[in-house]
Amino acid sequence: MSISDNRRWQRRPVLLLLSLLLVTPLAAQTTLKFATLAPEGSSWITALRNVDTEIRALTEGQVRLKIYAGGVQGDEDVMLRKVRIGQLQGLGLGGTGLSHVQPDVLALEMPFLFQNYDEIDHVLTQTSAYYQQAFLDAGFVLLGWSDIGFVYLMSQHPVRSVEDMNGHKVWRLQGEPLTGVLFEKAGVTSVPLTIPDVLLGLQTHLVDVVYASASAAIVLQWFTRVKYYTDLPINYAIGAFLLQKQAYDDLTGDQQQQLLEVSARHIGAHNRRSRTDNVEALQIMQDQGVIAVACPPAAIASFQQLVEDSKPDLIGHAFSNEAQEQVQRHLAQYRARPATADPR
Amino acid sequence: MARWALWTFLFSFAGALAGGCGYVRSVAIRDLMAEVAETTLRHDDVDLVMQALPTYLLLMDSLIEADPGNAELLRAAAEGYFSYAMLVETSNPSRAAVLYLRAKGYGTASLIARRPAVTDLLVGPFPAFENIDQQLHKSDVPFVFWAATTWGAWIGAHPDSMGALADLPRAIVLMQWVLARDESFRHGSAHVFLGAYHAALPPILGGDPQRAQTHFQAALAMTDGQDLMVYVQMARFYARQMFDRELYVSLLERVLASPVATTLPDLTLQNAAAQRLARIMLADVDVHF
Repeated sequence: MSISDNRRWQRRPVLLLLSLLLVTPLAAQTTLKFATLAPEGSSWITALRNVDTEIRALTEGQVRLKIYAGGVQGDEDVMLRKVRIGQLQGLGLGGTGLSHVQPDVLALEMPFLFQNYDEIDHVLTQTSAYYQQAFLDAGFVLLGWSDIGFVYLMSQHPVRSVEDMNGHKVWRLQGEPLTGVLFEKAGVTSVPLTIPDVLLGLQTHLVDVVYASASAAIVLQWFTRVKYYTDLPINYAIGAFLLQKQAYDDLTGDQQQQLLEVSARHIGAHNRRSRTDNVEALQIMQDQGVIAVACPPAAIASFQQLVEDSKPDLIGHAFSNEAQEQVQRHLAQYRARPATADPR
Repeated sequence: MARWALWTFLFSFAGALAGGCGYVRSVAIRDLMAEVAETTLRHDDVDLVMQALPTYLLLMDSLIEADPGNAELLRAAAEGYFSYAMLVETSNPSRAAVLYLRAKGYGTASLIARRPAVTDLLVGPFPAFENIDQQLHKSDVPFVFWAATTWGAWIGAHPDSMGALADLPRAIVLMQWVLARDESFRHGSAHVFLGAYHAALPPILGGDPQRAQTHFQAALAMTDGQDLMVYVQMARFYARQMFDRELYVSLLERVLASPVATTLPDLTLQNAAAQRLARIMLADVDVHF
């Protein structure tokens, strides 16, 4: 008994040393918990998994991601609350949650702003310093923008103009700041519904005009309940991958650089995929009998006029004047460039 | 030993048939194939079945080549490829995706062979497809079930494909038709399918965990809880969507603690596969929660 006690005592410094060796790397290990509504298998999740694999390898396991797909952590506002209390560090936001973090995102989502992806890419690159700072002010590091795509009107009767929406029940996303103002200006009755209620709403004719990116219309099955889509991209919808600033600050300088580089690369791949998905989705809608409705130039002008009329109510209210100025300036510069971009 | 003999026999039998003897091919071998399928389902050795199934599937392929409009043969091939893909999926998802495509091809072809009038509906506009029930009869349940099951499995294996996702509402319509006609078909498998569907998406994107739960419970009631795959699917879809770690673990532990061979012998192989899956999923618990 006493011998074994003695031995145990002798071993203790070794144990102590061992436990120190074990504890030190564990203490330095960081798990960044990321949550998103995007379902398992989507390119959002593929991007996050690839970031995880690569950042683990680069940091020899010291930094890793834990990924919660498909909204298992709740909707976007719940996820934001969980970030505030430290249960989550990272977010992939694609809905209204993003504008709740930083309303200036809405300046990028104004209707009829962008005509093609080249314009978008130029403006996003040129405004990146502005938006990175804007998100930092809101407590987040912007790891990358996430493409959602061009949004189209989809309906049960052809919509060629603003007038065609009159007398119909037009959906608007509950809690989304832009569309309410726009429809009010247009004198259109809009029905606020949450996303999961729209499919049933279309089935029961509670709403008969909705809007979504082509991919979203497939994933949410709305394409099965509409007969037409208006062949005029209304606006560009964008999401983002964010990391809580505090969690970012807790990484070493090397780890921060590695995470930014790896994220940019994999989110870039996800965005390219999202764009081809949207092209494919629009084609599938047509193949399955959803009819494209062309807009005459005069009708396009009336849509654009509506947006112009709404601007005083949106700029400086829904988002800042500065964001508007940044976006407009870089877009104007791009359009004034001698080398013209291909039209969409 | 006896099983070995069976396979050798099966193989040489097929060889003999290749020489040409249409009648035997059409009747005797089909009976044999049906027996093999039944024996397979009652087997408890997943590894053995996994090694043996490809031979059986090749035999199916060749039979179909000689009789491409045979709805029953096509349905059996859809079931065979689906079952094999499910066993392969745990270790090799990309291989399983290829097999599910083949299963789906047979599943759809089987439904078309049975009811040629559905051909255009399957690819046409969705509102027309919704009237597919006008072309179907109650006796079509096995064909509709396998068309829907293999279609759904193929979609599940391609969650990043717009084309696959666009087909999902059709697979759901078919499975709801099965449920309405014969809820008890294959021990309530239509409930399990629809349970997984309603639990796979978050409520904000149209998922309905409550409805999922009702379907899973109905399936469990139908077999007195002897179908272990129901627990596995509940853990995989429902418990994960509800972010309920305790439920996830308890469902899977229950699968491992339950007997594989039950009073429903045709569930033996599936139960053995469910235990294999449960082990892998339990090891992954920290990945999901």
